[in-house]
Amino acid sequence: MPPVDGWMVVRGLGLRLPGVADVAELARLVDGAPLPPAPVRRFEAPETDLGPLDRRTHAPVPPRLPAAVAGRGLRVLPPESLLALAAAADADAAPAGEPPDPWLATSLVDPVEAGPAAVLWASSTAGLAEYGTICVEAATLDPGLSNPSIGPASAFNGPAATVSIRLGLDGPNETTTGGTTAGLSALVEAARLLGDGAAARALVGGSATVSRWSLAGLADEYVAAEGAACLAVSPYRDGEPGIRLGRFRRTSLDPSDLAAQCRALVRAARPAGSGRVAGPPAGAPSDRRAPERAAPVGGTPAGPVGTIVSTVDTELAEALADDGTRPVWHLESSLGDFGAAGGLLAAACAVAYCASAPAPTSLLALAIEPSGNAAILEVSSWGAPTSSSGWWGERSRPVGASGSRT
Amino acid sequence: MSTAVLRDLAAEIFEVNPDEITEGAAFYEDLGIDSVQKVEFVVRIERQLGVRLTDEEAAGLQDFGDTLAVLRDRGISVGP
Amino acid sequence: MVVSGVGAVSGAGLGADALWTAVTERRVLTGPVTRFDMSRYPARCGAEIPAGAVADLDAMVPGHASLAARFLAVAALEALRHAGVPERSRAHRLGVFAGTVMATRPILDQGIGAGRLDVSGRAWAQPDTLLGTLREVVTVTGPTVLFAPGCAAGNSAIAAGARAVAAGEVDVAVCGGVSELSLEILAMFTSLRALAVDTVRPFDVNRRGTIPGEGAGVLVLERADRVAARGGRPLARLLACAAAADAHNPTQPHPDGNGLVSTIHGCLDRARLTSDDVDWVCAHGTGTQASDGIEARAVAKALAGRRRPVVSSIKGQFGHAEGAAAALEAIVAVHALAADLVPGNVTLIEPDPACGGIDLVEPTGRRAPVGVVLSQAFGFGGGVSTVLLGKDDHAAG
Repeated sequence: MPPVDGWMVVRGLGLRLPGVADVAELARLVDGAPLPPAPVRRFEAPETDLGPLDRRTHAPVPPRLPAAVAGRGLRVLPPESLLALAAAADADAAPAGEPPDPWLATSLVDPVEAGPAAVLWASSTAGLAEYGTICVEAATLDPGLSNPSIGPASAFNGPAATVSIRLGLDGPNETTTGGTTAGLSALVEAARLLGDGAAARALVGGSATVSRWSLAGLADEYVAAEGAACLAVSPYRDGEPGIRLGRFRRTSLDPSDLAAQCRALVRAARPAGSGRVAGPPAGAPSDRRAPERAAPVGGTPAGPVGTIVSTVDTELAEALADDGTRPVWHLESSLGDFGAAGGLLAAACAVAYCASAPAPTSLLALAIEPSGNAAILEVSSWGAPTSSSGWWGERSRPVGASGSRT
Repeated sequence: MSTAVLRDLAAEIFEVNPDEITEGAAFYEDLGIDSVQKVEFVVRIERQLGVRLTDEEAAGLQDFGDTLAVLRDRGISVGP
Repeated sequence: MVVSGVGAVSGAGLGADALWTAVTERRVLTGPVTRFDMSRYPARCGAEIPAGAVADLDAMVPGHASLAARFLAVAALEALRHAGVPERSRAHRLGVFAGTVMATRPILDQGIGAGRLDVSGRAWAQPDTLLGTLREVVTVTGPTVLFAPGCAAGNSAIAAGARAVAAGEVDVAVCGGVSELSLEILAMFTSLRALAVDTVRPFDVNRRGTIPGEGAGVLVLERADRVAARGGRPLARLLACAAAADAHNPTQPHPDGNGLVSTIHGCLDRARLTSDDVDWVCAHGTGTQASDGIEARAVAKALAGRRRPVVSSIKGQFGHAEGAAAALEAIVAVHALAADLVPGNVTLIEPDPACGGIDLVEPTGRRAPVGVVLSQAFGFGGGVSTVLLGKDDHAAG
């Protein structure tokens, strides 16, 4: 096994998702609460031979930009950049006038003093509608008459650039794209940047928008998902209570035997009987273990209570769930297909679930692509109050005792 | 096209109030726009008026007064 | 951390040697675009992969709707063979770290004619398919990560590959950048009035804009002991990587080049070197009015030392190959280290006095010891990524 990259601790989680008002609501979804069915919407790309297409998708998510990042300069930004900015701004700062949620690590008292902030973002849809629009304009207008403000937004890096520019974050700025593992890779790359000191903290996000253009890139059987999520992370410091991400593993599986290899990947990530892996660090008070969480059906005391998987292969997700020992929650079947952001959304769902449950709770976030490209990480909560109502105490309704199967 | 419509167009692209678009307010220094906003203003004028500005004409537009002057030089009547 | 193999597809054709030969022969590879009808455009130049070289791909890699996918695969094969790493082995952990600006989107450009846009297939909306051809010809046993951070993409990929090797995640990191000429990008730069009509002249007082190019560059990174164990010879050492953002404007660099300055300092600090140790700065130098001036001032400031920094840009020869640019430039840097030759600013006629803080290499290039090369890249969005390469004590040549 390769050396383990350092753990990261979650300092904030910003969400702009359809039908999900806050982190607690996302946790309830993971716990099995139903999302209202997505209506069918029609998408068109005029002056192309892409015909109108009816597709199940939620109404567009309003960005609801915090006042601190609103203002001049937003006029030509694509909706996806606005969603990304809103989620990142929320992740980066607790709402004014409210104390931070208790599950959020607060070790970075002065983030500006701590060092550069990196931005890593995953998307396969950012800039696509803009790219298509410029192509249409190139076909239908005289040269030089296409909108010069759209072109620069036609690449993938609009969200990461917008977050950096509007929040003034001058650390490394990276965008990952491709399949669903891109979102988990953004987290892995963030961990490495934090680990080697290139950044003191990072905003790691993923986003997707729906257009006639983006539908061509999505799997047909899911809701076409729109939205953004962003995790603010910093290096984990020993003993600090909170929720952390780590034990990353990226690999290529044999695409002809994905189900078995995925099971092996998950098993390797939760060795049977190994409280050392996912449980409290040595010396942590044993009374911090919440019994009903620590003994999920078929599980070992402190191992992950389930897996959140992002894949566009429904059969694979079902095959994993059929393994029987732990719940598997399939992102695409519930929230829809976010393209390259899927892995990040899986991690964000795991963070939300851990935040809602008494500590210690641990989940795996897994992304698998049809090519076999795969990534997995563990999300675990630590050092929380023992209250059965979870980290939020009376501020939020707790979720139930087990993840739902899809 | 009237001056008022042109001013509204500039105000929309520059994200300022139309009354800030005086003839002498420098696009970059006074209105704080960037070069892409300026070139978008040029392209929108070209699309709406069917005129094409040379690179030199486009680069020479420092303020709204310059814009009116270039259009008048091209024989395009810009009413009040 | 060493570079053990390189592979390239560029305006000079197929192969890293062709790339370097074009550099040393001072060939200017920009010219009228043939792939698209640009007869009605005011500026019609690009730096295309020659049609003959594109045809040669058929014998080397499978077909794909995306030319970029094929460029990447053929450059990766060349780099692995150059390194002596078998491309079909499961005995090592081989990861792929690729950088791009537009991935497969330029497939859409093929449908630009007069009137409605013809659209075929779906691969243009599926960036992951950029890696399809590479996966057919190389057995990838480790992760595949596709970066699209803007025009610093190639250096982002190199840095991520280096991190993966250092973390022990992979034994072999196939790092590269790739791009195919895009009519969408040409249309965008036409509207932005940022295209040179004839020639890219980085740092020249009469520079008039850039010219898009295309290609792929791939570098294989490994630990030095791994290369030595199979009797191989490293081509160069990767001394450091650093990344930053201007956090300023979507299309314009920070007027003080803050991000670039930060990455240059970051590279030197990590490598424990000083300004005077840098023998050549392989500039981003796109030939646009504002950007070159900012870059020149930032480099002069960041590398202030006993001598003015020695700077040239190869974009006068190869245009701006966007997603491929940084990777191709890193390969040129590897060759410069091996050959003790500093490439010149081939198209430079009259240096811009505003760039007086840097020592612009004359078009002929310079024979001089080259021990350390800094290669920087940045682009729309404000992301900057810089790599520092050094001569290997045991390097070939």
